[in-house]
Parts: sequence; C-alpha cells; structure tokens
Amino acid sequence: MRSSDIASTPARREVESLGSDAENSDGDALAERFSAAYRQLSPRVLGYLRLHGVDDPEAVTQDVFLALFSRLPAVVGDEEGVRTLTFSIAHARIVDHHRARTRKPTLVPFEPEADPRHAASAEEVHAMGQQSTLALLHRLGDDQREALTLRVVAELSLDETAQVMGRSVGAVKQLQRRALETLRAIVSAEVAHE
Amino acid sequence: MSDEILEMLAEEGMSDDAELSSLLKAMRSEATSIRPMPSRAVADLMSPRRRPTARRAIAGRRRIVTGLIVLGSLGVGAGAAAASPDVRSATQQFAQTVINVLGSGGAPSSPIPASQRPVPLPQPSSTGAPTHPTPTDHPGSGNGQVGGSHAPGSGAPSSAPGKGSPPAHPDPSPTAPGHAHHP
Repeated sequence: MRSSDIASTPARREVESLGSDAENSDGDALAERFSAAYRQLSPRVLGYLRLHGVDDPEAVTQDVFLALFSRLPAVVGDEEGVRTLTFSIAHARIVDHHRARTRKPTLVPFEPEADPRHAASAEEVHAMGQQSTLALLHRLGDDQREALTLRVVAELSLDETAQVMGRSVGAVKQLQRRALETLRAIVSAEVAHE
Repeated sequence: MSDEILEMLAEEGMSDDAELSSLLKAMRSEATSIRPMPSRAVADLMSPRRRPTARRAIAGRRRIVTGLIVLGSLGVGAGAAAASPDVRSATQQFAQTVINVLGSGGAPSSPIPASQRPVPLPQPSSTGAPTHPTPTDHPGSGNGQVGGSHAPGSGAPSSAPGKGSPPAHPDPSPTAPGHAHHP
C-alpha cells in the first residue's frame, strides 16, 4: 500500500538527495511550484489530518509537504495531480498513525470530555449549533467520514477521492451517499426540533 | 470554491437541499480556517535561495575533482620523465648549471681557480695569536666563492702566519656580539 512505501523512504532523506540534484535549471520553478502547493493546500491538509484524529497534525502536515517536494518533479496533471498526490500522502500518514496507535496503544487517564466515541444527543447537537459543525462528522463511520472530508475539505473529485482511498468510484459514491443521508437526517432533526 | 460540494450534491440528487449545502460549506470553512506556518525545512524548500547554496557545493566538489585530476596527471608525467635516461641526464645537467650560477653570484663560470679558493686560516693578531672572524667575516663574502667553504677570513693574505692551523684558543673576538671588550 502507499503508506508502506512512504514509511520506508524517509522524507527528509529524499529531500536532501533531491537538494543535491538542484543543478538543473528548473530548480527555481520547482520551488515556486512547491510554494504554490503549500499556500493552496496546507490548510486543507491540516484540517483533513485534524478531522481524522492525527496526533500533532501540524507536524504531520509539514512531513506531508516534505514528502511531496521529493515527488513533485514527477507529478503530471498540474494542479489536480499535485492535489491528488498531496492527499494520497496525507491519507497514508493517517493510515500509519492509526496502525501505530493499534500496535502501541497509549495509556492515558480517561477523560469523558476528550472521548471521541461520545455520541451527542439531539440536545447537544442543538446546543452546538453553528459553533462546531465538524463534530457532526464524528457521527459518521470512518470510511464515510474519510470520503466526505476528501470531497468537502480536500475538494477532490469523485475519481480523485477513489484514487486516494484506493477504492472504486462506485464504492466511494456509496460511502458519500450514506454520509450525506446521515448528515441530512441530523439537520432535519435539528430543524424539526427548532 | 463550492464547486465540489455542489457537484457532490448533484451526484446524489441533493442539489436542492440548501441546508445540507450550507452545512457542508460551514464544515469546509471551519476545517480549513487554520493556515499552518511552514516549518524551517519546508520554508527552505520554498525559497529559491536554497539553489545557489547547492550550486556552490557542487562547484566546490568540481574544483576538488579537477585538482585531483591535475595532480594525478602531473604525477604520471613526472614518473614517465624519471624513467627516461635522456631526461635524467638533462635534468642533472640543468641542476649542475643552476648550482654553478647560484654559487658564482649570478654569472655562470668555470670551476673556481685555485688562487680564489677560500683560505681556511684565521687572520693572526698583532700578538701572533690567531684571531677569530669578526661578524663581518662571514663565509663566502666578498670574493664570490662557492658556498660550502666554512673558512673564515677569506680576505686574509695567503702568506699569513699560522696558515693551515686551527685557532689555539676559542676565545671570542672582542667585537663579537654578546661579549665585553677587554683591551
């Protein structure tokens, strides 16, 4: 899977090796392209990582872009290609994070407020109001949340989302449909409650 | 900005759901509200100033490689020259000529005549005791003799008494530095 080959090649080493190959004349163009990608995509990458519960999402965001830089010269498809590659790397980082957490669970004191498994009641959802719409995403399944965040936060197309998740377009379409139906039910309940 | 959201709603036949659309837009706005500052490593990659540094490093490596190649070529050339007897004899001749030129004060000359050879005797004093050279009587001064002769007082007459015998007492000259004068 993508996550394995990313983990086997440290991003820092790749960047250093590429830095020594900076003699080519398009080095400045590469830096400019990388800067544009960072300006455009870094907020989305950070939000995507935060929504999936990655520890220290800011640091992982930087790692994602370091890994992106080493692969940027080989990217085809301009903006769409860079965007898909960036979120493929971020997706791999999320997969790695959850695998590592499974292998080595961290032992912390239980704090009910910090428990993400908490299911909000209708009253709580109403109380949240407009303050944190992102909390609604925790009422979705993992795959549904993944598909929806890639479409909404990362602004990927259906094909790009399927490519990042490593699933078929039909499977992603099914996931996003269920996620949207769940969200619509929550909103309808909220409106009916008002 | 909202193209993907509208497209997704259209794909699912929910284009007319304004509340769901506004909820998704609010989610996106909230999730992307934080713009992370680039770390130092990322900022270096974003800066074109990184390139000249890399070029300097490459240029330095090239200079080292070029220097090694030149030194290697010189070594090969010197080895080949040393292996040739003609070159050896020519080199010896050249070295002998250089030695002669330097030793004769700049003018190439034939071997030194016997009359100009250094006299290895000290100049006798008025008491008949041999004296030691003054600080001005350093070897090789005045007559262009070949270096290597350590005889002091080269300007002394060849008929001086005590010629050929070393000084009897190593008492220093009155004018020698670091010694008091005793009349």
